Amino acid sequence: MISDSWLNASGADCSRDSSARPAVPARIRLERLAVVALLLAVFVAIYIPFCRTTVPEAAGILNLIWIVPAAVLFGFRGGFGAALLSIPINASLAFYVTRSTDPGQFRRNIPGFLAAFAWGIGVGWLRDLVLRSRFQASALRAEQALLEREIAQREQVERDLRSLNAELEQAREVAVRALEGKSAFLGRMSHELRTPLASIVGYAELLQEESAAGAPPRLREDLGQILSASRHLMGLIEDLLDLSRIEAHKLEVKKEPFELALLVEDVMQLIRPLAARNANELQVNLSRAPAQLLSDPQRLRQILINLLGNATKFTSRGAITLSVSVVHRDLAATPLPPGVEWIEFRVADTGVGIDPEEAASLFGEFYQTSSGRQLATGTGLGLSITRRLCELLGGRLTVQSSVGEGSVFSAFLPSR
Amino acid sequence: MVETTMSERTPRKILLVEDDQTIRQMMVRRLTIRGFSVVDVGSGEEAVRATQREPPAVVVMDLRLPGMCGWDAARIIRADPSCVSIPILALTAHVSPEDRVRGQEVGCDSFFSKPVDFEALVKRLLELAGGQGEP
Repeated sequence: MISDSWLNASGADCSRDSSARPAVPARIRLERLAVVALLLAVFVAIYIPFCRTTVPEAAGILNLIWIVPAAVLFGFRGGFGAALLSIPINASLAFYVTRSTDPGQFRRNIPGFLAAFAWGIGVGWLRDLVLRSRFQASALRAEQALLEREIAQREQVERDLRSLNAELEQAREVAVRALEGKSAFLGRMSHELRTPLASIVGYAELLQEESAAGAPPRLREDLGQILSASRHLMGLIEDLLDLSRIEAHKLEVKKEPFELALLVEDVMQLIRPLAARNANELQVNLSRAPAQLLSDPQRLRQILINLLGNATKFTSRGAITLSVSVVHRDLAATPLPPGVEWIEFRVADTGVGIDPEEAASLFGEFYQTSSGRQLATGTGLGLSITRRLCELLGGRLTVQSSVGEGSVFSAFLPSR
Repeated sequence: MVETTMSERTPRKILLVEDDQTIRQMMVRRLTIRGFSVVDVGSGEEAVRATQREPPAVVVMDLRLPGMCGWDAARIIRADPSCVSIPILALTAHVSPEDRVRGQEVGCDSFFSKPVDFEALVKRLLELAGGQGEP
């Protein structure tokens, strides 16, 4: 029953840092108290017979058999308490012996009693000291172990992160290579496709020219079909080439100052015949636009031609308006450096409009709205390219539309 | 354009440099219909030789050629004093602004991106070759 932990369990008896140490279980405390009480009973039982021996002076020292265990088991407070308790016990025992048999016993008992008293206090103090230092050492060890475990854990986490990073880097490289490969392949393919296609277009045009006079009208019509299909295919290949260039980051973006009005007029010259084809009114509003921009005029031209070209396709007997203006507010989540403003290039038409469901996928590659498919022109790449060009210039492309009420495409580009 | 050298050359004579045989044949036929006399070659080296042998009024040259590329051929043609004033009309897959600058350095007078807008090409050729109007 008396195990190591039974003896060493320490707790409330060590006053100063009892809170830091685990408390001794109540059951063990009770058992210890019982042992001390038993030893006290033994002491009382043998005290009187001992006084009749040849060394009655040593009777006082018998106190050791219960005070020292009390000190060992309960520490300084136990030893001191037992010593204090021993005063009345010794006094009454000595008094009893003095009165009944030996009148000198009271005096003889004193040195031994004092020695036991001192031993109780000393052993209790020593026991507390030993336990405290042992506890501190073990606490220190525990703390050290904890720290070491934590360090090991962190090192593991760091290793994991590092290997994860390496894996990610590798995956990124693979992805980039794949994308570059795809773009290079697409660019190469487009080149290869264009050469025979150029022959087809050229010979069809040649046939048309040669058969200008005297050929059956059916022949001219059929040649016209070949030509329009070939031109469509050519447009598709051009767009694919553009897309592959953008993806391969081979499309360099310039930053040069240019007159906005000149560029817009240049674009309008191209768009006017297209607008006229569907009897559309074409309007330009530059009243709130800056005179000069610092951007890539070639790309901006392409953006405007794409947006206006789309508007002319999907609008007939309506109006198409290009307005350019400075935006006097911040676009969400896209802060600009000081001195730079957003310029909105707004292309509004009164055409067929776009279903909200279709608008969601409008900027995806090869996506065509149902009305776009009906027209059977276009490639489904124009808006995808336009959006990418806008992003390339540091801006973005948005669309607002509802069926039957026309569409508004806005390209937001930084002013420099 | 220097008039003295112009007179030494046959007006409306065009040297066509194009490596794709089908396109070359097609271009020759179409240009011939429009009243040009066309000499066609398939490489840069041949183009240089043909120019030196018999200077044309205009050189129409694809810049993407096997062997000696169009750029080099144009540079060599321009380096010859007797050919320095021959206009060179470059056909490229894609005209980038860099190409334009490079073209001006070697002396290309016009750029046409492929696929060529034939009517625009003919118009420019008539301007450069000097023979005004249809035959």
